[in-house]
Formats: sequence, C-alpha cells, structure tokens
Amino acid sequence: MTRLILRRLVTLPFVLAGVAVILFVVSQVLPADTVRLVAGDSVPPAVRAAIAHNLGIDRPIWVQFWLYIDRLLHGNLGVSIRFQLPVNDLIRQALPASLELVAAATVVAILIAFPIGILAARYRGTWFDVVSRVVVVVGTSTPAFFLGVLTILIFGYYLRWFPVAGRGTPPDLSHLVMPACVLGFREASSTARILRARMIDELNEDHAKAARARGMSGRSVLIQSGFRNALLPAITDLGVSLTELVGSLVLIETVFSWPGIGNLLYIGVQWNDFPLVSGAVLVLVLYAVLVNLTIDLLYGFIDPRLRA
Amino acid sequence: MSTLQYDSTFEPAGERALTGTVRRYLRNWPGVVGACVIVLIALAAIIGPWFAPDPNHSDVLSRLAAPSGQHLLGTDDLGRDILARVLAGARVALVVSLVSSAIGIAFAMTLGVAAGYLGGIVDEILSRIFDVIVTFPMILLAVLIVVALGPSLTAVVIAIGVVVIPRYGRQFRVLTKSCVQREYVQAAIAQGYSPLRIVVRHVLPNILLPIAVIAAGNMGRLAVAEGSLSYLGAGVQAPNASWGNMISEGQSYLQQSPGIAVYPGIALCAIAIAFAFIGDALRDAFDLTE
Repeated sequence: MTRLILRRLVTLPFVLAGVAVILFVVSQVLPADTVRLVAGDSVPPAVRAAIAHNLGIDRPIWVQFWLYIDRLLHGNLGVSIRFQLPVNDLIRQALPASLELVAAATVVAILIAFPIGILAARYRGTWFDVVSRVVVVVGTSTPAFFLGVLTILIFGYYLRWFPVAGRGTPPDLSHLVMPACVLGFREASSTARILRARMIDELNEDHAKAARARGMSGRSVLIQSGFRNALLPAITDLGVSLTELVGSLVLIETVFSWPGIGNLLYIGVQWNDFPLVSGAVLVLVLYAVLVNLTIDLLYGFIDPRLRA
Repeated sequence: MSTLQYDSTFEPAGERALTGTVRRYLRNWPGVVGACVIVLIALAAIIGPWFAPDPNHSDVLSRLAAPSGQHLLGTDDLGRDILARVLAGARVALVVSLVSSAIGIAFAMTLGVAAGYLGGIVDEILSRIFDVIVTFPMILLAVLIVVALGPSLTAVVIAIGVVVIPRYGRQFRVLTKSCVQREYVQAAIAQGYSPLRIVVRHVLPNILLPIAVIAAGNMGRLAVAEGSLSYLGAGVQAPNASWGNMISEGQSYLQQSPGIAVYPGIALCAIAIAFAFIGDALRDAFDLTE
C-alpha cells in the first residue's frame, strides 16, 4: 500500500507541471494582447507598460514561464478585473459552496446508481430494467445545463417545491436539493449502467452458480457474488464521473446561481475577466487531479492485487 | 472513450460486404431513427432559413408571443422568431461539430500515427502531452481557450478542435501500434518502403474506419460542448443565435414563456441522442469490437 501511495505521489508533480505548462501556453502565449486580458481595457499606456514589465512579457519566453510558475507557487492568481480583489480570496470564499454541492451530488449519485444498478441486474429484462435503461440514456445524453433549466421549470416554477436560485441566506438544505439532484443524476447514470452489466456478468460466473448450489439465498448470492465483485468497476466509473463532473459543475452552478467556483468562472467569462477565469480553471483542474489520485489509492484499498 | 478494433483480414471484399453492412445498419432501429433525425435537422438548417424570417429581426410589438401562424414557435423577449433562431442555431451546432471534428482528427491523426509508428521517445513525449491535456475537463480547457482568443464562432471551433485532439490522438496511437504488428506491415517494412508510404498505403486504410465510427458517435457531444460554451457566454455572441445562448436568454423568461429555452434545448437533446444512436449502430454494422 505504501509503495502504491509513493508511486502515485511521485508522478503527481509531473502531472501538475504539465498542467502549469498548458495554462501558461493558453494564458500567456496564445492571447494576442496579454496585458488587456490581465488588466482589462481601460488601462493608461504607462500602467500598461508597467504591467507588461511585471508580467515579464518583454522578456524571453523561458523567463516568462519561470515568473508564471513563481507566481503560481506563491499562490498568486492575480487580481480579478471585475471585483478588483485578489482571485485567491474570491476562490477561498467560493470553495465551500462548491465542495458542499459536489459532496451532496455524490451522495445522491450513490443513492441513485447502486439501487438502480443492483435491481436492474436482479430484475433483468423486466419493465424496471427497461425503464431504468431509458432513464440512463436520457441522463447521459441530455446536456447538464438543459436538465437544470428543465428542473427549475418543473420543480421550481410549476410545482413550487424548491427555490430556483442561490444558496439561501443563511445556506439551507432546500436550495441545495435541485442542483445536487441534477448533478448527482448525471453522475449516477453511467455508474448504474456499468454496475448492472458487471453484476449480470458476475452472476453468470461459476462462483455465483457454486454459491447458489450450496444453498445460499438469492439475496446473499446477489450481494456476495454479484455486487462485491462489480463494486470495483462501479467505483472506477464513479471516480471518472467525479472528474468529469467538474464540467457539469460549472454549468449547474451557473444554472442555479450557486455561489461556487463554477459560478465565479461564469462571471469571469461574462466580464472578460481572464485572471478570474484562469484561476477558477486551475483550481478545478487541481480538484480533478486530486480526485484521480484518491481513486487510484482507493483501488489499492479495495483490490489488494493492485498494491504490488 | 474506449478503443475500437477492426479486423479487416477476414472481411469478404467488395460489394457484398458493403451491402451486408448496410443491411445490418438498417436492422438497428435506433440507428435508423438517429440518422433520420440528423438528416431532418441538417435539411432544416440548410433550407429553413430561406423560408423562416430573419432570426435577428426583432418585432418589439410582439414580444413573448405565443405560437401562431405567423410565428410557429412564438417569439422571444425581443420579439424575434423562435423557430428561425432554432434553425440558425442548428447551423451553428452542425458546423461546429463537423469542423472541429475535422480539425481534431487531422491533428490527432498526424500526432497519433507518429507516436504509434515511430514509438520510442516520440511516443513517450506525445503520450505524456496527451495525458496532461486529458487531465483538463473538456469544457474547462475549451472555455479558457475561447476567452484567451476572444469569444467568437471561430474561437469555439478551434477550442473544441484542440480539446478533442488528445482524445482522438490516443485512439490513433493504439490502433497504429496494433496495426504495425501485422504481417502485411512488417512485410512492407522488410521490403524497405518509406515510412510515409507504409503509413499511407497500409496503416491508415486499416485504422480510419474505427476512428470515423467513434467520431460519428461523438459529434453529438461536440454539439453539446458548443451549446455549453455558448450558455456560459464563451461562444457565439448575441445577437447571433446558438442553442446555448438561447437557453441562457430564455432562462430569464421561463415563467412567462418557457418555449424560448425549451425548444432549443429539445433540439440539442435530439442531436445528442441521435448521434449517440448512430455511433452505436455503425459500431454494430461494421462489427467493431472493443
């Protein structure tokens, strides 16, 4: 286990360095006018020159890269054009809301995916299986933001069950329900499908037949032979969705005006606030990298064969 | 994205194989429905604008109008014809998914085949670059690129094209690697043909089909990506219509007239599901195995 953790931790800096290089290329090399992106339109020429010097744009590209990395390592993400505040502070304020939403969505995803996956495998070919498959196709194909808009329309405006925007002051559960359910539903659909398929495979294996022949009850065969063996691929998929979730997170936070990092990104786009956009992207990518790492370590925990 | 394998070795050559493939496709009803939906949307996108009113013409006297003979799907908050805007949005969605697929595949083919054929240090470097880009969730990198370039249709096409390069590049690499192991490629190498000739004559013809199938199935996702970018404001800019920015604008009027957001949303779902169906049906028809 320690070896697995060490090996993962050794590769981490390389991944992060790669991420930094891409962010540097997109943010410093790609734009025609970096100063305008970093400081906005209404900047006097003298200040422009100072900013350009400060960013090191007048220097060789490797010096620029070094300055960029130096800023990142000092946790300096620049100043937001829209808010005239350090991007770090804005992100620190928004982080709890995003984490709360992701955590709630993951709980929802597990609550949806596991029962549906298990039951669809158990009652394979029945109406339940068919309905759940249709739900899965709709869930994976419908764009996240449109699903959010539809939810607002139905549960917010027609049925008036939940508030349609924001996190509430003070934050309350009723505001969390809709965004968490939409996000969780998106996460759940592919996991449910994989759990079903793998459980059906496992239940056809000899070990399941042997268990049945030895007189184990249907339910314990389903759980012991089916569910436990199908758990690893299901968690793999849940992990993959947890990283893919980041894209949906931005959209869902925007749809529901949820005051998290995704919403900051949206505001950044609206105001052409590049420091805010790139800061938010950096934090979200870091999240994806860390989730990947956690999932890898979880494998070692669940499947001892992978520890070697 | 999983990798598809295509084994051409035992395929009966010529016309019979093709009709067999077509017959297998036609037997798959979701695939047929998907193809019909895409053809309908494409026709509507091409022909529609000649008959529909100007999508950007605003008639302030009939704001938020209900569907009528004059405006089949009603009008939006600025009195613009929703149907005309949905059709204009269809053009954007189809153009973006087609052109960015083409850009992505062109670059992915060059890089992926180079990595798979040359191997060694080239493979190592290109693979690591692909890995790192894939670490970025698709939509985030695309947003970043669009904002850096300045939001426009061209920026959206470039951003989505760039984002899919490593995803297709990995496929090209794996397929090339397994293709190079085959006897006919080994024989060509032994005969001393140039790498370019071997790649063009022997490798590409055998790996393009699986990639084309994957790309067809993915077109819907690219249309959704375009919609997502436009919804976030990092895409087609007002007043020009895209399904994404229509949904975004319509969200403010959900209570009075939900149609502004719902119709483009349905169109986007239709295109996403249809392309997914087509991808699955093609995969079965060509008998590609994972």
